[in-house]
Amino acid sequence: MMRVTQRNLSAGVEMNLQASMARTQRLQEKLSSGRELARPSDSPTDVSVALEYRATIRRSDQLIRNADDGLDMLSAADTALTGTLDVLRRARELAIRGANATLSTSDREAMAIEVDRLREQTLSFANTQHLGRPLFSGTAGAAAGGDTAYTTAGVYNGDGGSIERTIAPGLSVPVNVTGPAAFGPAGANVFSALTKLAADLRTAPSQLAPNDVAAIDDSYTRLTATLATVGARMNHVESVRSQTDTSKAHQSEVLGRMEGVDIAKTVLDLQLQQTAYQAALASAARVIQPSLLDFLR
Amino acid sequence: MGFFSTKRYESTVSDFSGLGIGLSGLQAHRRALDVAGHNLANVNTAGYTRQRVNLSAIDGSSSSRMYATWPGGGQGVRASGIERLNDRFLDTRSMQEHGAQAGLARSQSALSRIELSFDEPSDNGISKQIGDFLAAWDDLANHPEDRAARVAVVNSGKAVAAGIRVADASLRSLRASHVSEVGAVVNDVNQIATQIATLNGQIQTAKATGDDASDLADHRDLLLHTLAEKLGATATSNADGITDVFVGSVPLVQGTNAQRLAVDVGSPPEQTVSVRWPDLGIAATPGGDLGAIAKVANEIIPRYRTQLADVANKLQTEVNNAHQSGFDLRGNAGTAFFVTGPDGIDVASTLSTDPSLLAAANSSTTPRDGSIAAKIAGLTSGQSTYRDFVVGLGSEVGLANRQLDTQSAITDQVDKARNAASGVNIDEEMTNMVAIQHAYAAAARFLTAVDQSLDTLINGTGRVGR
Repeated sequence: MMRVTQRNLSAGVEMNLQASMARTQRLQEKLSSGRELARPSDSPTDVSVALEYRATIRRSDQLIRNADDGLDMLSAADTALTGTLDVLRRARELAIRGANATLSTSDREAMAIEVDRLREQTLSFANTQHLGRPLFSGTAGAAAGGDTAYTTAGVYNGDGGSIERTIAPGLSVPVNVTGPAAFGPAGANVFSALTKLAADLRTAPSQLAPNDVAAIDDSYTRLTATLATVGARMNHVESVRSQTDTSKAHQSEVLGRMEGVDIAKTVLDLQLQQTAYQAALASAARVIQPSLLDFLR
Repeated sequence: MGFFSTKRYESTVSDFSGLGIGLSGLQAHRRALDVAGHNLANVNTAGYTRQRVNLSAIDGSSSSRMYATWPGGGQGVRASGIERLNDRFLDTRSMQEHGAQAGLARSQSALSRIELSFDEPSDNGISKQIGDFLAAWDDLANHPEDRAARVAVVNSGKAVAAGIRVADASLRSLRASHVSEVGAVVNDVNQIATQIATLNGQIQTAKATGDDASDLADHRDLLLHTLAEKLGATATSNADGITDVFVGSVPLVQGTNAQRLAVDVGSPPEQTVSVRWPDLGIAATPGGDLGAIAKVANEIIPRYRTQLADVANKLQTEVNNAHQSGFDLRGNAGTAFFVTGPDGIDVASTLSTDPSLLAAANSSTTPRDGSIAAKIAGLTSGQSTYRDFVVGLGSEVGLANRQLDTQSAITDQVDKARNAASGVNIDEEMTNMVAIQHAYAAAARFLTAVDQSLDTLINGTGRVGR
């Protein structure tokens, strides 16, 4: 039989109380920090996943920012191009009306002046700035004459560079439209068409009906096609963005479950632990006190 | 011969011998009472081993004589010695387990401190900083000409570099404190070894002269335990009361001689710390706390510093490679983003003074392109190397925690068994005290009986008929 000594008893009591207090402290730490995983050694595998999710969520945040930024640019392009379409529609009306032989020269002059204004309007659409840089100039730097996509003569300053946004890991989509794609190639663009329309209204009305109308129709078709592309890209970016959003929400939830404390369970554990601690204290008080000394006289 | 003669001469027993027997009983039980009191007084003394008085009966004459025979009957009782009730086997086990535990506790505490200096997973750790850094590159990719985006990239790059440098600096200082601790522990050990050698001499003398050396032996046992914890020393006891102490197979204390240990610290930058026996000219291989401190300083911390440097290196290489393939706002080719300074990596000073030199574009003619910045934002190997580092660290700390828990349970078990053999139980001592008290009272009563019979003999004899 093992002898039991007073020191063993008190050492045992002390160790049990210590262990119990350590458990209480751990639970309190969890509750006050609200975190189940405080250090890597709490669970290296969970921490590995948690770190991975944290990095992924951080990346998703950024991808959503990228997508929002891209959508911003695409919708700016959409607005500018839709505006240009309205202008072209009006120009086409004027071209057809101008071809009417009953019109006087002064009537045509008035129309030509309106076409000039329409051209300026188109130019301002083409030179739309987005966050301080021309929307349609591609990736080229500022031109010598100013930071615009087109000169007043309708000459393109930009390049064909595509501006892309990373909206998912490994997925970059172009979010810009270059000038030639929207407004036509050099020499056959919407500006030269409008210049020619104004000139023909003034000097060669016979050219209006087949040629100028056809040129404007060309530009119109090109623009609608480009607008369709812009719309398709917006849809694409939008759907990828919402996918990222969904998966981010899911990852955040998993991370929260993994790192976060189950409050109800932890509070209950703490309660049990405190009861156990009190029981240990009470039993220690009973065990340590009595010895034969109390019963001899 | 005498006036009264019988055929057989009875004894040479004095009429007063009964007084002697009674006295021996009183003396022996006083001694036993003292020992019980000593035990009770030391019920809470660390390292105290309970003592017991060995009582033995005093023979009469055991050798036969030519003209006299011994009729039997002893001469009383004597306290023949005081015994320490320790268990040599458990003492040795206890030393071993305490040595192992001290070593594991030291490694565990060092590893937890390393773990704490990385603060993961959290919103302040290096992992978060790397994430923010990469995100800043994405913002730059979205707005390559925006000066604010450029400054943000430089600042977040500096934050990552500083995070890594600070972590490395805390590893360095942790290591330095361990290196100096080796010297402190070796000093302690040398002093304790000298004390043990002195105690060996005192115990040997006490034994030779028949004195009680129990409490000296207790003191020596305490010191032996300290040595076991400090450097995993083992002890062997010899018959003459001497205990020799060994570290590995080299004697630290032999009889009354103590060997010295000395510390060598290597030259910077490694500063490998080692312990040797200067008088023997060989390296020492300590275990216990000292062995663990040396291991922490020479292996564990340098290993984590290498791994951290590897994280920095991966990040530096992948960011620099991508950055150098790009072009800055003025169309110049990119330079190295991270450079290695004396304390670790940092953002190149040319870039931090002029962020327009950040190479976000993939061609010299397209300053509004951000594809290189987008490429850097998508880099993953720095982040994943760091993650592996943290997980490796966490596993090692977790393992150290579990090992320490197991070892603590074992040590506790051995201590309990040892204490059960050698600790003081108040009930037991009280029972002994009761027995001793009764024996003392009985001896006193016996003295009274002898006294009365002598009184009868002396004062009552030869007065017949009065």
